[in-house]
Amino acid sequence: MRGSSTALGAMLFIIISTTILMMVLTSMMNYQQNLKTYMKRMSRKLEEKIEIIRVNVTDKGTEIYILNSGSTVTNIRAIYLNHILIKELEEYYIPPGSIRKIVLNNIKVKRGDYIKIATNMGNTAATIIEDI
Amino acid sequence: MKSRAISPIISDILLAVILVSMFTIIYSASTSITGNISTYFWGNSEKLLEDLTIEEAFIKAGNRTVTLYIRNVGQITTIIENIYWNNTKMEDLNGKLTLKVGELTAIKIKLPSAPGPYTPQTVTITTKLGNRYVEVLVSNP
Repeated sequence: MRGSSTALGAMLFIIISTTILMMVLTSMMNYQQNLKTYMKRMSRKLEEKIEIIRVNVTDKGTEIYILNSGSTVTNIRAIYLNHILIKELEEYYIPPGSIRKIVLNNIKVKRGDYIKIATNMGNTAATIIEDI
Repeated sequence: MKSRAISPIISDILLAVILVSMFTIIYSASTSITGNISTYFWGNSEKLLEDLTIEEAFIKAGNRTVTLYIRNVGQITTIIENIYWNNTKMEDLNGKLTLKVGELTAIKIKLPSAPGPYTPQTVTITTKLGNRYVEVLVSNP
């Protein structure tokens, strides 16, 4: 009886210590995983670089030419004209090293207007219209 | 004088009481420490996935109204708690504003006083998870 209680005590101790260890290790692993994801996101954000290279006004509206001069695919999410949101885009991707055009229908920009574009990573590019 | 030992039953009970109390102390201490460690790692790991950005904001000197365009550029849904303007609480959202991943919101803020030209304005956004996003904006003339 006395011998079995010692064995039971040892088992209980092992169970408790294993549970505690598992809890701590799981939370630490989760933290490490999220830290890795965070680092990846930050690295992608730094790799992203966009520029507005040209703005044309046509009969239909305004064309904005965007160059992705970074080393990663960029996803354009919003366009602002004079600090006001005029267009939100869902899936507008530009591969690295490519130029893509965004057309703003029925909007004609003029000299001195301020255009800003934003990506899904939080990066932005802006320009002031000088010659049109 | 003849000294007598305590009876075997009392000694057993005493031993059991000591063991149970020791076990309780060790168990509560270890669960408390483990709980704290787990909470620290879980809480901070969630915080890492949260990210907000003020995509656009325009402050005109002499104008008390400002529109902030805030986007969730993180990887989890964010609950905005408060917005501070120059360390003064402007919007007590109390967790009413939830932003899903990639979602954009426009918040109109009425400033206590109109800023002068080229004055730096500090905007702080706090979230339910405890993150603080600070941005310095300058008013346009």
